[in-house]
This record gives sequence, C-alpha cells and structure tokens, in this order.
Amino acid sequence: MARLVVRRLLLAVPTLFVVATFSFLLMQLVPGDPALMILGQNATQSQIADLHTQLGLDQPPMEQYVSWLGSAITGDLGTSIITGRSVVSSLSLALPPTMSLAILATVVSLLLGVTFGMLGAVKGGWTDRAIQQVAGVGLAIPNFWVAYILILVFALTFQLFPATGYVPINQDPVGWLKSLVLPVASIAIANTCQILLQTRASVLDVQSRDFIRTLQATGIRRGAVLTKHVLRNAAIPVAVATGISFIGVFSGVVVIEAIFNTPGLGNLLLTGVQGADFPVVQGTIVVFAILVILTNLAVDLATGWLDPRVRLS
Amino acid sequence: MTGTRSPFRAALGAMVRRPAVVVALVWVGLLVLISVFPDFFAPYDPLKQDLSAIFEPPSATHWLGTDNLGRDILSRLIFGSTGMLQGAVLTAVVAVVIGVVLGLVAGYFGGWADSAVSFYVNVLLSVPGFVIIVTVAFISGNNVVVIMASLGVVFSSAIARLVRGSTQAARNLLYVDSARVSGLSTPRIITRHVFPNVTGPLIVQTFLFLAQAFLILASLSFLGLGFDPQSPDWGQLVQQATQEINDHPWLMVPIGAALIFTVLAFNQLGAGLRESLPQNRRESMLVSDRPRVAPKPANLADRALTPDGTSGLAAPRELVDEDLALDVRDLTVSFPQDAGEIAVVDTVSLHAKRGEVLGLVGESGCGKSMTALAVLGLVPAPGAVQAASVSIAGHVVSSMSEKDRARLRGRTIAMIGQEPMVALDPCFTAGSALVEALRANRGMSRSEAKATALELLTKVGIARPMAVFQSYPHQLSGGMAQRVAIALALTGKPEILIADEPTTALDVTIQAEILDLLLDLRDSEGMTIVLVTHDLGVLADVGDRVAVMYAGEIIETGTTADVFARPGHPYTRGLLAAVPDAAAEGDRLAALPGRVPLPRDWPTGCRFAERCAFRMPACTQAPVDATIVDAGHLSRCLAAREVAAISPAHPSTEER
Repeated sequence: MARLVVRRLLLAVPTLFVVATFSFLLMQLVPGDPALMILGQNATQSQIADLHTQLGLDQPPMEQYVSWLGSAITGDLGTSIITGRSVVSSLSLALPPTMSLAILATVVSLLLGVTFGMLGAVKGGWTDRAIQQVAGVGLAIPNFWVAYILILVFALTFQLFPATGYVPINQDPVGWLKSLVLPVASIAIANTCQILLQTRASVLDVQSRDFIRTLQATGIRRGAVLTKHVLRNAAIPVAVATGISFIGVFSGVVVIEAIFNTPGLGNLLLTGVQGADFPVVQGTIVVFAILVILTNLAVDLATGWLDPRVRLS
Repeated sequence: MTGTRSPFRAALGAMVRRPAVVVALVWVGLLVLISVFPDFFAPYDPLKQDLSAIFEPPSATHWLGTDNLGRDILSRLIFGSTGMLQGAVLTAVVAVVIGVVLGLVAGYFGGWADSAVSFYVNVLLSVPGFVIIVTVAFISGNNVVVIMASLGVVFSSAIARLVRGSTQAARNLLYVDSARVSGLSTPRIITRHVFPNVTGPLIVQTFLFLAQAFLILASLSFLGLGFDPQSPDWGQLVQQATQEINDHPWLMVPIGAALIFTVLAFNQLGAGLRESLPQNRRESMLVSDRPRVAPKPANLADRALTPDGTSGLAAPRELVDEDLALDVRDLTVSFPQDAGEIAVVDTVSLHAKRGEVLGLVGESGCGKSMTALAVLGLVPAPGAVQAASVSIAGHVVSSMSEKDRARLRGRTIAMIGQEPMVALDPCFTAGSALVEALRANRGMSRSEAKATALELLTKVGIARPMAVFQSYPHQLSGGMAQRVAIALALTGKPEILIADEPTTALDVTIQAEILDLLLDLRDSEGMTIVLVTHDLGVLADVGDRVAVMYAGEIIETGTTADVFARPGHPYTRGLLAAVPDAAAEGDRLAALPGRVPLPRDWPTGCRFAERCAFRMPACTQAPVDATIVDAGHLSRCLAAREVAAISPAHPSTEER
C-alpha cells in the first residue's frame, strides 16, 4: 500500500509539471500579442510595454518559463492583471466555496446513490426498473438548465433559499448551508444518478459471486450478507465512481458558480478567461490539477483500505 | 470463430428489440435529419422577428410558441441542432481516432509505448475536462472547431484506455499467437483479430461521448463561449430562456426537453448496446425470501407413479425416517426460459443414512450441482423447486418458510464448493469469516470464537493455524482455501455436508488429502457426506452408496459395491469404462460418444438412448421406470438386468 501511494505521488510530480508547463504556454499559444488581448485594440504603446514588463513578456520565452516555474514552486503564481491581487490569495479565497460545493454534492450523491442503487439491485422487479429509468433521465438533465428550474421553484416562487450568493461558513453556518442548497442540488442530480447506477451494477455483480453462496450455506443471515459482505465488496468500485464524480464537480462548478454567483474557483476561472487575466487562469488550472491529483490519491487510499488485494499487493 | 454470426452483430440484433432503444433511435434519426436539412423542416426563419407576436404560447401557427422577439421556437431549435450535432460528431470522431490509435499502439506493443500512452492519459485526466475546454475557448478565440477537437482529445484518454485493455487481452489470446506464428503482418493481425473484440465497447463509449459532448457544448454556449452568440444553438436558447424565466417559464420547456431527450437517447443507445453485448452475466446467488411458484415444466412428460406414490428410486418406505440423514422425494428444479418453464432436475429422489457417504455422479450439465443446491435451498433466482418432500436430519424442509430453512443452513446442513479460491469473501480474513460464522452458529463471544476457529483450522489439517487465521483468501493456496472452506462448513457442527466437486479445482496431490480429510471428518464427527462428482473413480474408494444422474434424472442407484460390480445402466458402464482416462480428460468421456442433451431437448423416452449401444425401439417410446437389479440397486433401463449380467464389468477389461 505504501508503495502504491509513493508511486502515485512520484507520478504526480511529472504530471503536475506537464500541466504547469501547458498553463505557462497559454500566453505563448494565444494568437497575436496577449497584451493587446488584455488591453484591447486601443491601447497605447507605453501601456503595452508596461504590461509586457509586468507579465515578463519582454524576456526570452525560456527565461520567462524558468522564472514562472521557479515562482510557482515557491508558491507565487503572480498577480491578477485586473484586480492587482496576488493570484494565490484569490485562489485561497475561492477554494472554500468550491470545496464546500464539491464535498456537500458528493456526500449527498453518495448517500442517495448508494441507498437507491442498493435498493434497486436487492429489490429487483419494477422497483429496480423504475429506479433505473429515473437515474437514466437524471443523467441526461443539463445542470445549468436544472439550476434555473430550481431557482424558479425554490428561490423565486417559494423563496426558501437564496437564488444567488455565498455565505462563508464561519460567518453564518445556516446561511452557508442555505446558500449552497440550490447549487449543490444542481450538481448532485447527475452525480447521484452516476453513483446510483454504479452501486446497482456492483451490488448485482457481488451478488453473483460464489462466496455469497458460501456465506448463506454457512448460516450467515441474509441481512448480514447484504450489509456486511455485499456492501463491502460493492464499495470498492463505488469508491472509484465517487472519485470520478467528485472530479466531475470541478467541471460543473465553472457553469454552476457562474449561475449562482458563487465566488469559487470556477467563477475565478471564468472571469479570468473573460478578462484575459492570464496569471489567474494559469493559477486556477494548476490548482484544479492539484485537486484532481489529491482526489485520485484519496480514492487510491480508500480502495486500498477497502480491498485487501490492493492493500497487500 | 468461423461460420457463426459475430457476437457484435448478434448484440445489435438484440439491442434493436428493446423498446427504449427503438425510441432513442427514432429520436436520433429525427435529430440527424433536421440538423442536416433545417431549411426543409423548420417552418420559419430562426432569426425572423415578429414583435407583434412575442411570448406566444404553443399554437397551430407556432407549435412551440415564440420568444421575446417573436421568433419561432421550433425553428430556432431545429436550426440550433445543426451546430450542436456537428460539434458532437467532430468530438466523437477525434476522440475515437486518437484513442484507437494510441490504445492499439499501447496495448499491442507494450513497453515504453504503453508507458507513454498511460502518461498521456494521466495528464489529460488530471485537469477537469470542462476547465480544459473553457481555457481552449479562451486561447483559440472561441474557435468552435478547435474547441470541439480539444474536447475530442480529452475524451480520447478514455478510449485509449479501453482499446489498450481489449488489445492486450486479445493479444494474449491463443488465436492471435497462432496468427503471428503463421506469418500474418501486424496490421492484418490488428484489423482481423484485435479490432473485432473492441468494436462493441468502442461504439458504446462513442454513444456515451456523444451525449457528454452535447451537454458540454450546450454548457459552453450557455456561457457564451464557442458559438456565435447570434446563432440559435441550444445553450444560447437556454440562456435566452433564463432571462425571462420568472414571467415566461414556458420558454425553458422546449429547449430543456430537446436537450434531455437527446442526451437520454444517446445514453440509451450506448446502454442498450452494452447490455446486449455478450458478457458473463451471472444470476444472483442470494436466495429470495419469496420463492417463485413455477408452472409445470414444459420439457417433462407425465410419469406413471410407482405403487408407493413416488416416481421410483426413492428411499423404500420400510426405512425408518430417523435412520435417514437425507431423504429427498421427487425433487424438481426448473427455470423460466424463452421456451417456457424448463426443468433442469427431474423428480429426483435420493437418500443417505447417517454417517454414510453418498456419491452423486454424472457428467457436467446433468443437474447434480443443482440438485445439491436445491437440497440446501440455495437455488439461484429465478429457479423454482418443487418436491414431494425433502427431509434433512428429520426436519421436513420442503414445507418450511425460507426463514426457518435459513436457520438450518450451517447448523444442520452445510456445503463446500468446487472453487475454493472464490468461495471466500476476499475482503475478510479467514479468521474473521470463521469468527463471524461461529458467532452466528454457536452464539459464541469473540474470544471464544477465535479460540474455536483456531481449533477448527487445526482439525482440518492446517499446520500453522494462526498464520492462516490472519490471511486473506488471495494469500491462500487452493488447497489451503478449501481447508478453510471446510472449517467454515464445520462451524455449525452440521449433520450433513454437501461437497460439490470439492477437489476438481485442486492439484492432483492435494485432491487425495482433501478427500481423506472429508472421510476423517465423517468418522470423527459422524457426518453424512453427499459427494457430488463427475469422477466415478473418486467414489470407488470413499463412497458407501452411489446415485448416478443423467440429463436431470437419477438413472441408477445402489451401494457402491453393487453398482461398480454389476452396473445396471449403460451410462454407468460408460462412466466406469472412462475412469482411467477421466482424470486427464476432465469432463469429456472418451468411451461415450455424443453429449448430454440440453434440458429443453430432453426426449420423452430414455434420455440416454441417443448415445446408447443397447438401444431398443421401446426405449424411445415412453419414460423409462426404475427396474430392480438387486435389493436396493435400481436402474432406469429397460434392459437393466441384461446389462448388469454382462461380465466382467471391471473398467480395465471393459470393451466397447
């Protein structure tokens, strides 16, 4: 197990390096002068020259790269062109809302998905078919569309939850939760269905294995077979699916945070992109990559914890 | 592989018989049509404004109503579909082309090529897909072709992984090796032998990607990225609808429905095909608490009952029930199939005295394992069991509820199976499995259970019980795992142990050890053992009595000595003749031509007639009843006594 974790971490280094290199190259890849893109076509020569100096574009590319990478490793991702704030401080402000969204959405999806996936697999018959159909439709609902439906119903019509905005948890935990209900729901619908279908498939698979017969022949009660043995074995692929859906939230937040005006990483990326704020875009990509790598590591740890074949290999 | 319909074609055939898939196909077909010929299908110009008719509800002139500028919503949907579908198809094509090439290279060549591809996959998967796409939209100046191609690159990682796996598997298959030896060039091997194996999963994945691409495209254009803001693509339509959501919520409906139906349709096509692809789907082993009541199986003829009210071969009534550890009368097991209810075990009667070893013998597919499972009450759903009576150590289980029956399992009757390596839960140590069973069966405390578990492990011949106690199943050898399985079966001190081919999967040297262990346990615990096997040779040494099964029914039963000395059924003779070769040949019997008929092909008369050297016209006319060969030795053969009289019946001198 330790070897697996070490190998994963060692693999993470070149992966992050490549991601960082690509995000550095963003500025080089833009057709034309990035400064013009930022300042607009009417910028004066001196404005452009100033920005070139600020972005380091007046240096040879290799030197820019080395100095950018050097700062990035020491935790300096530059300053935002638009707000003038350090990118790292913007990122650290944007991290809590996005993580709140991702964690809450995953917890909700995991609880609902495992419950109903297990229910369908164990009950079978029309219960199972109904659950499968609903999950199929749930997977097909676009999150941005359902977000507005939720706003219409729960914010505009019944005014149960705020339509937009975010309240930090240390200011007002109840307000925090309320501000997250609708964005979390928008994301959790598809993720629940994903985890549900995986749970159902895994439970059916485990139920068909020989050891289930052994357990029953040995006198272990049906309830114990289901809750202890089936669930435990089925949890291994479900853990992987949960990791995938957690990572999926990071894709979803770009749209969902824009709709709900949540000051998270997705919003940061989108406003960065819209304002051609290169340092912000570069920094956000690197942070997203770190989050994905950490999530995958957590999934590896969880699988190892659940599956002795992985742990002891 | 030759001559038969390819599995992929068969899957396509099965797929289009699903109603959901048909609906999905119609929708996708319609979508393709309208997106290719929008001018023909759209009733209006999608950009034509009519300020006198804004926010109109659906009507005969505007089927889906009009928007804030009086533009026809249906026409906008139709025109918007073109860019969506083009983008999605472009994404899928790029993903498949790149993914297939990389996957084939990685899977076929391995080594550094494999490492390079897996690094590529890792890098792509380390940034959330939509984050990449938004960034690409930014640096490409909203060039939709570049954006969709990049999305294809992102998706290609999953295809590369899929194709790599299938290619590796295919590469290792024998026929590819032989193709290589016979001098086929690499491209030919790939196109002829590797590609057919990945086609199915690849198409499934492509459908799922089309669905994903549609969602991502719509998200992008919803954010105002990618498409021309003037074009009525579907994300824009959602964006416009949200502007008026409070006053005119209807606007959300048509575009929402179009998006959901489209994504659902692509997903359904993918899922429909995946479920139709051949796979080793197995039934649940979990017993239902509500057994199914089955109609009379279609493949069984009406039988004349013997004077004692059973179909013959049952334990004679004069045997007092208490002497019998196991008394099965007229047990039938059936499964629903396309052809109707089909029996796989046909009115089987068995009995075993206390402390006896009863051998249940027959080729694969004769129904002997299913008989054993029915006795335990562990026939997998949707199987149904009917019996005149099944008694286990004096308990009449055939009239019990599943709940009561479950209480007997482990404590009165237990089982060991043929695949010890998969018979134990891989997530728990041998010790924890034993402790769980001991606590359930003997109500022990944790520490008592641990001590007893170690004792049991010693009893089944394990030299280092503590080491095995702490081991997970994957750390045990097959023989060791079978000993643990036997220890598990002993946790409830059962009176009857059903051993279903307990040595088939083990090394020859281990086989004898396990059989000796079972015999020792019979002697020390006074257990009755039902030994299910295809190998008559095994029973020669250990069996007290034998029941021979063929095509779902018992065709001969008697003491081992009688049956071996004077086999009264040609099938038994054949089995005996095959004994010397059987160990090497597995289930194939060299001396018997042909194979066991499938249950749905069971003839009305003798089921063995087709393969029988002693066949007479009468054999195929009506079901054959049991004939008494000697006292307690019965055979379901019209010529039983004549067959038994042929001498000598010893395998080594048997000639055919």
